[in-house]
Amino acid sequence: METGIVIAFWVLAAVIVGAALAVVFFRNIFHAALFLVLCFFTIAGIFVILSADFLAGAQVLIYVGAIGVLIIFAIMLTRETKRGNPSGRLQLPALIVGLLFLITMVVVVVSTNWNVVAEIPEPTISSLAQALFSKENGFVLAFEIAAALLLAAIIGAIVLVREK
Amino acid sequence: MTILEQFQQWLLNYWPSWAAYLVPALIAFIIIVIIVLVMVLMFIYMERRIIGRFQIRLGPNRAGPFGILQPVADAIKVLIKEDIVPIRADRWVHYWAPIITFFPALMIFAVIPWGQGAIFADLNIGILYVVAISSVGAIGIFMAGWGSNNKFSLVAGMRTIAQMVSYEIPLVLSIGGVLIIAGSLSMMDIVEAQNVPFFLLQPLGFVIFFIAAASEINRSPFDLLEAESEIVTGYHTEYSGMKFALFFFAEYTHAFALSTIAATLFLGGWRFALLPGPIWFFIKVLLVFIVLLWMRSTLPRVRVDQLMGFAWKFLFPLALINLFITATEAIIWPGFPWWLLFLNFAIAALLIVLWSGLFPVPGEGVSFKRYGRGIAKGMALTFKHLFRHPITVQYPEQRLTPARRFRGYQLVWYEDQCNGCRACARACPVSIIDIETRKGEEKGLVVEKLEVDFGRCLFCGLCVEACPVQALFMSRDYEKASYRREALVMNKEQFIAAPDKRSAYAYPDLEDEMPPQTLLAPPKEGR
Repeated sequence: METGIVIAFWVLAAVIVGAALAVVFFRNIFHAALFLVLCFFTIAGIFVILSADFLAGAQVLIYVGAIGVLIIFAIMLTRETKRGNPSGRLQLPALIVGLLFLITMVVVVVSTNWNVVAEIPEPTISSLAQALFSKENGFVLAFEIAAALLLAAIIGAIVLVREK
Repeated sequence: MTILEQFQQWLLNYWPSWAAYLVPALIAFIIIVIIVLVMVLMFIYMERRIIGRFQIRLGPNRAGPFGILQPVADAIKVLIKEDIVPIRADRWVHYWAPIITFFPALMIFAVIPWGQGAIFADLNIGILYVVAISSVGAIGIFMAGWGSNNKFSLVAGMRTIAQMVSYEIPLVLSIGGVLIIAGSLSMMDIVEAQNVPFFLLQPLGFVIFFIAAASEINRSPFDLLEAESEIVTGYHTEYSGMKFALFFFAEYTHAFALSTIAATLFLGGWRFALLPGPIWFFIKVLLVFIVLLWMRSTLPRVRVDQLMGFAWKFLFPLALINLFITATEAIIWPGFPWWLLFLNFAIAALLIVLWSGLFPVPGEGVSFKRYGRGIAKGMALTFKHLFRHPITVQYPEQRLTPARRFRGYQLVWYEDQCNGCRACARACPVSIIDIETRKGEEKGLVVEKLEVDFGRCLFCGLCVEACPVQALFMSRDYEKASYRREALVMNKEQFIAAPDKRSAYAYPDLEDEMPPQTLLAPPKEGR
C-alpha cells in the first residue's frame, strides 16, 4: 500500500506542477482557466491520499465546482478574449515577487514542525466538526464572523450592480 | 463492512496484498460500469416508449420484440457516423468536452448502495462526494459550448453555468435536511437510518431536491441549454458521431445517477419488505425516472428569467426554511418519531401555498390557482393518457381509409365514357393534360393519346369538374411515389390498366358505395 501512495503522490504532484505552469504560460486564457481547474482537481487527489476526505470533497466542491466555474463565467463575460492573454511590461517584478513567495512557502513548509497523527480518526467529519464547533476550544465565533462577512459581501455585490 | 471489503479480506489469505486489493476493486468497477451501461440503454428505451404512451403514441416498436433493440440500433447508427469538427473550433476543448461531461456522471456510482453492503466505496463523505463530483460536469458542458465556436452553443454554455450555480444551492440545502436526520454523510448510514423513508419526514425537502436535481441534469422543463426551438440543441449543435453519443449517454447517465440518489436519500434505498434489496432499489429508481418522464411529457419549458427566479425566489428560501425547521425538530424531538410526518406534511403544504402567494399573476391574483392547480390538472391529464389506446397507425400493415371526397394521387379515366371533348385539358390551370383525338367510325371522337404529367399536377380537381360525360374521376390513392421523374407521367395504356380507385370528388351520389373514412378519435355520442 505504501508504495502505491508514493507513486500516486508523485504522479499527482507532476500533474499539479505541469497544470500550474500551463496556467501561467498559456496565451489562450480559456485554456489557462481549464488547467487551473485541473490543478484544483489534482490537489483534491493529494488530500485523498492524505486521508483528508472531507477536505478533498470540499476542495472539489468549492474550487472546481464554484471558483473554477466562476472564473470561466468571468472569461465568458469578458470582451476580446480571442486576442489571448498578452504579457504586460511587469514581467521582471512579477518574477521577483513570485520567486520570493515561492521561497517563503518552501521555507515555511520545511521549517514547520508538522503535527503527525499516528492514527486517522474515523470518521473524519465528526472529529472535524468537534474541532470546529466544540464549546471548549472551538472556533464558533470565528465561523460566525466569517459567515457574517460573506453575507455582507453578497449584499454589497447586489447593491453595487443593482439598477437604479 | 461492505461485500467488496469482505472479499478483499478473504482474498488476502491467498494472494499478495496489492493483488488482493486491486483485482476485486477492478471487478467491482467493471460490474458497476456494466450495470450503468445496461440501465442507461434501458432508460433510453423506456424514455422513448413511455413518453410515447404519455402522448397517446406507441413509441419505437420495430427493432426487435417491442422495439427493445432500438437503443442498440441508435448506438450503431451514431457510432458509424462521421465525426465532424468545425474548422475554427477550439480543437482540444472540443475533443475533451464530452469526456469531461461523461466521467463525473459515471464516478457518482462509486458511492451508490445497490443493496445491503453492495457498494463500491462506503466513503464517510458519501453525499458530499456526490455533490462535489456532479458539479464538475458543468465544466464539460461549458467547454462544449465554448469549443464549438458557435454562438448558440455559447449561449447554451452560459445558461448551463447560470443554471448549475443557481440550482446547486437549493439542492445542497435540501440534502442538508436529510443529513440532519440521518446524522451522517455516508450513503450506507443514510439508508440504515431510514426506518421511516425520508420523503415522509422531509416532504418539502424531497420536492425541492427533486425539482433542483431535475434542473441539474437538464431534464425538461428545465432543459434550457438544449432548447431546440431557441438555440438548436445548444451545446451539442456542433457535435456528431461518437462525441455526440457520449453527450447523449452522459445525459442519461446523469438521469440514472440522480434517480439512484433520490431513491437512496429519500425513498429508503434498498430497504423494504419481502423482496431482496437490489430489486427494491431498482424499482424505486425506475419510479423516480418515470416521474421525471411524466414531468417532461406534461410541462412546457420555462423561460430563462422564470428559471432563475424560481431558483432564487422560490426554491432557495423554502430550502433555507426547511433546513431551519428540520434543525429545530432535531433539537426538540431528537429521535424524529414517525408522527412528525403529519406535522411536516402540514408545514410543507402551508409553506408552498403561502410562498406561491408572493408571485401574483397580473389580473388573476394569487398564482397558486394557475401554477399549482394548472400543473396538477396537466399532470392528471397526461397520466390518463398513459392508459388510453394509442392512436398510432402501424402503417404498412394498417392503413387509413381516406375521406370519400379525397383528391388523391392521379386520375381515374374511363375510355368508353370519354367523348374526346378535351374539356379537361382546357380546364387544367397548369396545362398538363395532353389529348390527341381522331374521328372514329362508331363514335364521334376517339382518344389517340392521353398523357398527364402528375409531377406538376395541383390536384385541384378542375378537370374532373369540367368533364361533361363522367369519364374522369379523382382517385383515392395516396401512397404512390417514384424514384424517377419520368415515371410520374401517365399515358393512355397506364390509365386503362390502372385499378379503379375513384373518389366521390365532384360526384356526391357515388359516396354511398365508398368505405367510410377512418377516424382516429371517434366523435363522442350526442355531439
